[in-house]
Amino acid sequence: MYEAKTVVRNIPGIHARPAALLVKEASLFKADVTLATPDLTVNAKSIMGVMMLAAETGTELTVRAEGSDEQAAVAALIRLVESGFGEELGA
Amino acid sequence: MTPKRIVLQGVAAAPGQAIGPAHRLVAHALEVPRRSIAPRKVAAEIRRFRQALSAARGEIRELRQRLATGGEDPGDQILASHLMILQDRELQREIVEAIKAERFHAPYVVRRVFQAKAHYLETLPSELFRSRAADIRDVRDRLVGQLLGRGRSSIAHVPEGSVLIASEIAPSEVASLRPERIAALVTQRGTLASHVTIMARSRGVPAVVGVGDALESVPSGEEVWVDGSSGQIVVGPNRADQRRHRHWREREARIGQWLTQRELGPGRTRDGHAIAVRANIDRPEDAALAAEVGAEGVGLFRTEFFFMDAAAFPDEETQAAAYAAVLDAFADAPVTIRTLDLGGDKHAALMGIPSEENPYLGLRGVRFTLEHPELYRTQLRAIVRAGAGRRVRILVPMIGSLDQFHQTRALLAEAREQIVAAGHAAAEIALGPMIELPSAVLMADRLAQASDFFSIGSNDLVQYLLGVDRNNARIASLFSPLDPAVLRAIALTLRHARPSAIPVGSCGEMSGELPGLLLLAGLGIDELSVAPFLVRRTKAILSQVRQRDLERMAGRCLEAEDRRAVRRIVGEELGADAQFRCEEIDGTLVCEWEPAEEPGARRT
Repeated sequence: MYEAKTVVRNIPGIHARPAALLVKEASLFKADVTLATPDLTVNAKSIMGVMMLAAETGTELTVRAEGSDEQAAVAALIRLVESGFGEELGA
Repeated sequence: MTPKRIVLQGVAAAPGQAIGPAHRLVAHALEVPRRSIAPRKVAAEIRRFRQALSAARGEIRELRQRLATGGEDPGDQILASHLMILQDRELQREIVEAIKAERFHAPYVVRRVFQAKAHYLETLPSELFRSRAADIRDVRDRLVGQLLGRGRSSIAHVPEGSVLIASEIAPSEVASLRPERIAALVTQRGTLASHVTIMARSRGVPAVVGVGDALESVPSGEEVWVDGSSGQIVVGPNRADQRRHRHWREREARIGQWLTQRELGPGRTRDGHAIAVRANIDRPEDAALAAEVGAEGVGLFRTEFFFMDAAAFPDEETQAAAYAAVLDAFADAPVTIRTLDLGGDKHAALMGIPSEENPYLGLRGVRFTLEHPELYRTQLRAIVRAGAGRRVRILVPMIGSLDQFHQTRALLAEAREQIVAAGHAAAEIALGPMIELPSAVLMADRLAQASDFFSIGSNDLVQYLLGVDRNNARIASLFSPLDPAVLRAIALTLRHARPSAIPVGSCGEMSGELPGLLLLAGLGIDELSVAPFLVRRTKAILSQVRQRDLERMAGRCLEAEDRRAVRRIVGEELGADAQFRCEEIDGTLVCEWEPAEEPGARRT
């Protein structure tokens, strides 16, 4: 198991487009990946799940992965979140 | 028995008028009974579920192909996101496990699982995330419809010429709107931020939203008159209504004819007084249309719509390219780009800004951008880059103090330095405030000394000055640009601006309505900015009146004690001119213009 924490940086947060990007990225890896906010933990490969996360700018996010490529999976998702999904940053 | 005539009021979402038979879209809650299945039938039910998933996906793919609008169209993006939901493996697992465990049939389980998620979203504080519940319900209904073998009442099957009425229209249905088939759209729910509004505007269909529960009583087949410009609906229009609509249609045709036969140069009154007529645009694509209709540049380029379509804040490159595209459409004329005017309820919904108790008095306009300096700087840099060698102006919304204006100037100067340092050419940019807060009106003399131009935002000026929320149905009738207080505020602004010799323009809805247009001109406004479809008509009207007559009318109105007096004066002045017809309808002065046979003909 491997995990890392980060903060949602882009405005307004993980809405439609970032959610889709996260799911597409997570789905490239073999490992089981979850995303967690203080309120909720979801499957990162599920668009419905990531939509439920409804993470706004400034929310702390924990990326957790379990499987053969767990480190690469976590690194990729952290990078995606921290890049702000190519959107304007607010945090 | 005479059918009852009912007048309803909603929010004017997309302009235009129409009459047609109401066609009510079937409510979304498809009746789904809770039915148990025998253990040996479970496997077959799961197979049926998977088939329905596949069929629903196919339906969406086919719809996208049929629309063939492509990646940037908001309709296509909605459908793409729905497709993704139908491909969600975890969601499918959840449903399959539930069918196995509970042994209820698929439609019931699907409905319950989706409904729980939609319900959860609806409890969230942020309006952006809340609004996704509509998408979940939409996908739910498509899937349940497949399972029950019942197509939903789709927009494609609506009789031609119908006025579509519904509690709300699912995003994917709005996306598949065919303007040729539908006379108008009317919904119970919905706001100016809804998918319905955005799509109706982009497809040119008159629309009224947020009519409320009263709409429930309107049955299918009932004749309905819709005015998307005023938000008014008349169910069971009587002969007078029909006549009025017929006259409107005929007049529109005649005006259209008159306009096509005329070469309309720059805006000018009959006695030679120049008033530039520019266009309000929302998207770079509108710029070409504006140039085609002869707009003398852009008086207002609202950049937040551009941001919302992109579903994200575009970076400097993307913004610069979009601004350049608009500037390209106008070689010489000024293009006024308004910096991000986010906030207020309609934008909070789309941008996921935490909802405020009092959004109109909250963090919006320049307050918002000064709180997010990186965002502000990016936009300013993009404008500076795109504007090199062209006449570009920057308009700052919601200026309430000189301090905010000076801060913006400083950021703009910084942006120029950065662009020059990066080796690009940088434009000299005119900077001006939107005059919409009363404090800006009262400080207009000092603001004018610091500005290159003013633009009066009539919609918000009226709201803040009179203290009226136009979305509040209970007091919306108090909202009036013809209130003498508003006219005095505009006159004061103009008076304060004169010593600094800066142009003062107006870009709100007041310039798009007849009494407002003529009063603004008479008060001394230098330029007007209107929707592209009004550019030619505005120039035409100005060319048929004399500035000195307008000044006299405005002068009399400034002495008026109340709105009634203003209406009387305007009615009197315009009534003497054969080309105008004014009527008081429900406390509002409705004026129409039709070019007279001989210009300046007096009514005998």
